[in-house]
Amino acid sequence: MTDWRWELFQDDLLDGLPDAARAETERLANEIAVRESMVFLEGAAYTGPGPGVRTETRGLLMLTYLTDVRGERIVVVQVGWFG
Amino acid sequence: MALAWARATRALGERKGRPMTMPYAEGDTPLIPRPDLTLPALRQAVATVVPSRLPEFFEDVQKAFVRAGDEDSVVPIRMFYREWGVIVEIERHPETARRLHAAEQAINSAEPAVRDRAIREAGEIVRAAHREVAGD
Repeated sequence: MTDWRWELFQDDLLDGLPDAARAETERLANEIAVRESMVFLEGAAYTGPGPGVRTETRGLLMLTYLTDVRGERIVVVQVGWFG
Repeated sequence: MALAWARATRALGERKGRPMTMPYAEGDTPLIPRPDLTLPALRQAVATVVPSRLPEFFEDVQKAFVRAGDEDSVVPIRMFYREWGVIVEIERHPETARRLHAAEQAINSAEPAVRDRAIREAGEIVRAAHREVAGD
């Protein structure tokens, strides 16, 4: 359905977080990637403005990410766990 | 909701009075001191450094308090403070804000290498601001 994917800004981004935080990050990042694939249907051919830095929260998780529309990916730049 | 507000205010009180540090570009003098993470202080700061985002700020306040009431939790309010504390932290440094917004534009480049650089730049700025606001 989609080539969109999500990535971490840096490999150690989730270091020190509990397993629940990692699992929730993965779930939410996947959902955002799928949603973005439906919002930006042109994908790599997109030439409009991107949405910039955005933050989403769910439960105890706060996730800040960037959308690289032409690269068909979201990049998670910051994860906060309010446990 | 009033109870949630009081608890959040107490929980966040300890954040006050932390020293101001400057992890940003030399000469990027802040427009205002770092505000306390309270609703009036953040509202005033947003009105000063990024007034165009005030409507979004008020919308987020509303959402945070509704969620706090629904979930009987102060977490949504702490998240709201963190998110807007970070926005203010960036916007009160004009050069940092300019670099971030330039990077946000560059993420739309046709060149993958330009996009990668832009993501690196924007991510570093956002992460530095989170470190400052979260105090870790």
